[in-house]
Amino acid sequence: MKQDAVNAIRLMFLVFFLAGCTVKAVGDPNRPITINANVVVDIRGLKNTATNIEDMVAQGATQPNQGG
Amino acid sequence: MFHRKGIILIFLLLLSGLSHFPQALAAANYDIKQMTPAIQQALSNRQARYMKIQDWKSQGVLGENSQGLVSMLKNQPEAASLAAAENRDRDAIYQAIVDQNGLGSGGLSKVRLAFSEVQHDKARPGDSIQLASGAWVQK
Repeated sequence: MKQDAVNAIRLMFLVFFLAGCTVKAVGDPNRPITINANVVVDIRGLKNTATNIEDMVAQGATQPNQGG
Repeated sequence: MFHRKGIILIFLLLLSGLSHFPQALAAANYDIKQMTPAIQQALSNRQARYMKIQDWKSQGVLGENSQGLVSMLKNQPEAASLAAAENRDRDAIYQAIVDQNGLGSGGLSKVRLAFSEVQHDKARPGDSIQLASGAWVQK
């Protein structure tokens, strides 16, 4: 019975870990842990944004010498 | 034969993996999340000079480079000042996208690359575009 409970807790931690839960580190504030975050940029998403902005610029373009 | 706990464990592992799957398939959404007066001004400026930029590009005076900016290809003082102003506004927009989407220190080069690809796609036949190799070609 006790072993089942231990297994259940282990399983829960494993699932949390794989699901990407936040892990809080506790340590000496005078020796902070440095984590170099690797930001992954999706070029497809950026191209969608670029397309939207360039379309907006082109569609909102004002004609030179318009109205005189 | 599988033990029941083993089956449950495999099921949970698959479930946790599947929760990340749609994020991998969908393109990330990067927007100008906050339209500040400076960004609005940069966009308005670009709209106001768009036709003139197109004129200079069709005359071969300006071209779209591989950094998402316009480059001078022929000496023309009026076009030079126009290009400088255009590039300042483009940079303001690119930097806003980087800052507002937390794209980090390497984000600006990615944003420039994405914009240059779109600008090259939208270039008209005969316009000059700079390839990633640095070479200029006519579209």
